[in-house]
Amino acid sequence: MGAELIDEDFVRRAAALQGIEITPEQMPGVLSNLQRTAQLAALVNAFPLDPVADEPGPVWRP
Amino acid sequence: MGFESALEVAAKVRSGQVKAVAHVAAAFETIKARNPGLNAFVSLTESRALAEAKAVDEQVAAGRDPGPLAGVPFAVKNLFDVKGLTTLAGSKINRDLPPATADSPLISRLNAAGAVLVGTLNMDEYAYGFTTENTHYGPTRNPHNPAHIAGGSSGGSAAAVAGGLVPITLGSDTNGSIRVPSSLCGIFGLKPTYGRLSRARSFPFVASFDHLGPFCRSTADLAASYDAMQGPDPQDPVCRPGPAELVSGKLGLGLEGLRVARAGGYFEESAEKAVLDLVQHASAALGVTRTVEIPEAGRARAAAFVITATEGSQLHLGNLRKRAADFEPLIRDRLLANTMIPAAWYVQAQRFRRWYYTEVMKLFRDVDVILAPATPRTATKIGQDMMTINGVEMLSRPNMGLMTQPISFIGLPVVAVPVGMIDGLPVGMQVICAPWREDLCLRVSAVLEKMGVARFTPPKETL
Repeated sequence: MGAELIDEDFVRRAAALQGIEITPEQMPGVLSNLQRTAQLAALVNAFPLDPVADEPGPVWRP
Repeated sequence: MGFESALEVAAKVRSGQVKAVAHVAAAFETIKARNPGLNAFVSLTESRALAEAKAVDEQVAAGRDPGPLAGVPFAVKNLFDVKGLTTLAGSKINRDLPPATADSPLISRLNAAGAVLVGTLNMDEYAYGFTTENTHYGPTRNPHNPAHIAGGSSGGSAAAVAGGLVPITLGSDTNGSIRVPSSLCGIFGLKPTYGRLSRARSFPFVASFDHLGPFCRSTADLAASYDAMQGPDPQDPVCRPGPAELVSGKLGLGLEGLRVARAGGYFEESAEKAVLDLVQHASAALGVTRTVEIPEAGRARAAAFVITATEGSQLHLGNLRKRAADFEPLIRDRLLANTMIPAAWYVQAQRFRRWYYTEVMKLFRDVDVILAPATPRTATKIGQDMMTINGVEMLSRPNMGLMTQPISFIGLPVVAVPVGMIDGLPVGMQVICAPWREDLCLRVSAVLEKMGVARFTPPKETL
């Protein structure tokens, strides 16, 4: 999913799924923040990984 | 009073030359005189501190060892539990919680070493920020120029040390919250390896990345406080079992046998030239000629952003449902937005983390130490929304961690060292090593300090 798919309607419905109501005052900030995260997530999502071989460790010990 | 090192204070108290009670009383006078201009402290623990100091003096009088940090005042970011105080974590919402019933184990361990807790420090609400512009408790100001931020999220911790209020503070670092304020206030900060220091009884932010660590004005103080806090703790599931690996005795080992390189690529592209010049100067002093590229560092930063957003908002989901209006206005909309992140983005970011870790570990086959800027620039002004890095305009608050996020993403140990001033404001460099090699970070920091390349510069107003 790309940032361009995130609009007020999406935010309202996705928030409702979490039991959250977004007020008109909060909407512009929520929208721009979610769009920014979507742009960064797109960069990560574009990286080819194997869902089996690249499984995250259940316990992270550097 | 003000800029004595912790070890100098401890030596005087241990020898009986100075009474801990007198030193701590004087420290409170300094704090009360300087804090109004900085807003570093949120609360003072005066009666407790004087009782702790009295106990130290009694040990000295009885000929017993009062500990390596005897009589040294210290303070903690207000996300550490302090018995009898509510752990605010910079929030208004947490005021409704009951007082903590016990101290954080890191506080207990510093107390056991003779150090004296004098108060709690300001921070970004719930550690979500790099600026400590806290609407509920006011912004913390940079001791070098009060119109500028101290950095965050452990801004109070850095300002208190840089302003000469106390020689040791503790903070947390999830994406850079020890290294960013250390850099912007011109002091030394240690973010140990993920899992090194117990996080028990501290208010969390992002379980995957949360670290705790100390701030000081010298490498030796940093090592002494770190040594005092090490050791296993079954109360923190990620805290490493096994004995402490003490570093204070290793600081004089120098660069012998160490392969040091400077980080190129992303780390050169995302910082101002004046900052890179100072890192280059410090690198040259160490004889560094080699540059290494940490692979996919920009993507690592993006993945850290996604994981932070997801875990950080899940922590507060209940309150976001019930009382969103009570959150810090600067982070409320971000937290609300973060509750809607698809699970697939989060899992991909965690998978990428495993890949990135494996690749960075390959680099450490050929180098022991990597040098990189700690912040892309010096401190922005309080209230400044936008900043420019290399001609690119960007939001200032989320981007001050551009240099630090790709490193804490995989838990590597880092010492942030102050490497110079730009237009009267300090900036720091990250000394990055392989997991569990804090000793090497601190050795390089000690070498730079001995050369005079890395040093704390007292703020002009306090001289």
